[in-house]
Amino acid sequence: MLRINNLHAQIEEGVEILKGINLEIKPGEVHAIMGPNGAGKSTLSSVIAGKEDYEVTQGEIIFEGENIVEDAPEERAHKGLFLSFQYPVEIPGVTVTNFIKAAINENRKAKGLSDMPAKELLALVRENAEKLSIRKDFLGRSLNEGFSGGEKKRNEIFQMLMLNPKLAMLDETDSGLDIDALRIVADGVNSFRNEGNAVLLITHYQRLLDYIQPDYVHVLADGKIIKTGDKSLALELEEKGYDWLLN
Amino acid sequence: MLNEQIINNHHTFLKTLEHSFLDGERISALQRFAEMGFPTKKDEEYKYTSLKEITEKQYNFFPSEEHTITQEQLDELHLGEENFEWITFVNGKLRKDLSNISIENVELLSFRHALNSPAHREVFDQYYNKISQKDLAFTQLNMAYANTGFFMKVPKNVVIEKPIHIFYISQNQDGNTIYNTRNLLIVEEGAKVEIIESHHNFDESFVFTNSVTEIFTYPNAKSDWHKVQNDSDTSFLVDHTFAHQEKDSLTTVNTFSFGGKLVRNNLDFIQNGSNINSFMNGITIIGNQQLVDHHTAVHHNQPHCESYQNYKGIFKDSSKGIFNGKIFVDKIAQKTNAYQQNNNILLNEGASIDTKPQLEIFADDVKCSHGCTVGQLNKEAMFYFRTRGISEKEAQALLLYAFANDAMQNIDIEPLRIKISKLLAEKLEVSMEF
Repeated sequence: MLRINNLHAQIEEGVEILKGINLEIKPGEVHAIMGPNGAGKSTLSSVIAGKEDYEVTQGEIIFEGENIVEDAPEERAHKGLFLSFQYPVEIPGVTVTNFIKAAINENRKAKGLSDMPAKELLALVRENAEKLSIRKDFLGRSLNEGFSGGEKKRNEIFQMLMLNPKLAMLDETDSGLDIDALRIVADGVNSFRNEGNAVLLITHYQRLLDYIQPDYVHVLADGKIIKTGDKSLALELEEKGYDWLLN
Repeated sequence: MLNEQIINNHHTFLKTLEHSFLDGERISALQRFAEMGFPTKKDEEYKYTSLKEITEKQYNFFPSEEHTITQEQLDELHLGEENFEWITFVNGKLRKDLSNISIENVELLSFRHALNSPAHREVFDQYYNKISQKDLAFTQLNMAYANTGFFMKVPKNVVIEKPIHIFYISQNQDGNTIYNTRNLLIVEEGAKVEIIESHHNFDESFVFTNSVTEIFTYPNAKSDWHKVQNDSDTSFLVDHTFAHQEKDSLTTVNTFSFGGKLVRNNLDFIQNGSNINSFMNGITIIGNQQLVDHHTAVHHNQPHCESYQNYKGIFKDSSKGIFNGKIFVDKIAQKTNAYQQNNNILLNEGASIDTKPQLEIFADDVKCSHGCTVGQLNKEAMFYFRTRGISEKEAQALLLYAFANDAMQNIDIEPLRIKISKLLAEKLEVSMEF
């Protein structure tokens, strides 16, 4: 599904953050990327999603057989990529419902489909909101404005369920969540998983991995993947920290 | 050009009137105008707005009354007939066949009719030209020539349910035309009314409207005035609106500026009692070579009053915006709460905005807050939208829509809010459902 070959990216001339990433994700898999602060974890997901602040200087990102390095963020979304933000942006004046409606219909437009009928959309909203214990009045509020940390993350997962991507990248989705919210979010992600899609978790702590079991755990440090293992690696990192890998 | 025409046409103009009781005032107003002339960029109040494109043209002062405006054409301008009353002026003359007024217990007349009827003389003596500022060229020009517009007095405790939409239409004119429009609204104690005002030029030639409005709101009364400025690109509008409020009253003036070549709005609130609320909201979305200039002034003369100003501007192409907001707090006006916000987004390099808050506070126990911003769209927000599959263009439109929409919070007429939302969407080229 996703194959990253020797990916280098810089934020400005000479300031390289990703220094040769190789990663392969197959349908049905869950991958976790862990690593110390400043390792480039969030940069990696931003670069995959197409953030224009970064320049890819080398390598390729093959998604569903196509190199998407030159694609605009919305084109990547249309192909089935999704990024759950670590810090979702507050947008006063655009309601959650209006936002998700615009997103769904823009994705449909890109596929040559007409707008989703209001009734169908409403049913889908209701179904997914229920999964995440999202109250109805929440959907009429301005996007992320005044949301608690937990509400923001739940809203991200709600959008993921609504858009039903092929690959969902979740950037620090567990941060700022209490244990109940974490469970709800994890249940949402687990309900999304199937044989045809994949999940890439970016996380600092292994706590989330108790709820969403990864098939692979990668350690990212200084712009490179320095170790790959199974979920026991996460436990080991929890116990020993990162130093033993870095030295 | 226009200056000379104004002076030379006055004698002829006076002869066309059926009434003469105002002649003395009109003549002295003309004299004051002649002494002042039109303001230039040397004038502090017109530093950023050149009036040359208005004043260096010739205009017809006597528009022909004939027109071919049909009900269908009017329908297109409507906000939803079932929800409103409306009065239509075409070429300066009230057209009853294009108006629909069913309200009772209210004095509602065309200004011309009111001037010509001795029965209304007393009201004129009491209210007319009482709060309009005398030292301004445009108010004096208006005083000298005013002969169209409407006059309305809502008696004590009368609540008018349906908003009244006033259409000023110009059509079928041979060459450029000038209108000196005059409105007078008196809302007595405990009464309530909402007015919508819009101007429409159907011709290719230029129309210059010089409008003066006086609003009196008495204790416990509520008056709302919405200016929908979406005229053609051969239209000029200079508006002076003076709102005088007595204690415990509430007055709102909303200004939605989307059209017109050059629009200058002057809005003065005069608070003359305690516990007054004054609201001013504005949304400006313009492009090409358009210019919209808002000058507001709130006179906090009494204690325990509040004023709220919220102006949003979006400027495309080479358009230009000006915002100047003055707040005066008299030394006895303790416990004043004055709020002013002006936020702007410039979409193209050629667009510009000059924004200037101006506060003069002489009381010591007041809360005055003001802020102005000029910026571009939030890049992080754009990226967020795009990762959800929303195209750059659509994302921009949605964000701008949300930005402007903030100034619509206190429009309580649903059809008007929908209409403004539609105009917003249209101007921003975004498809939205309402």
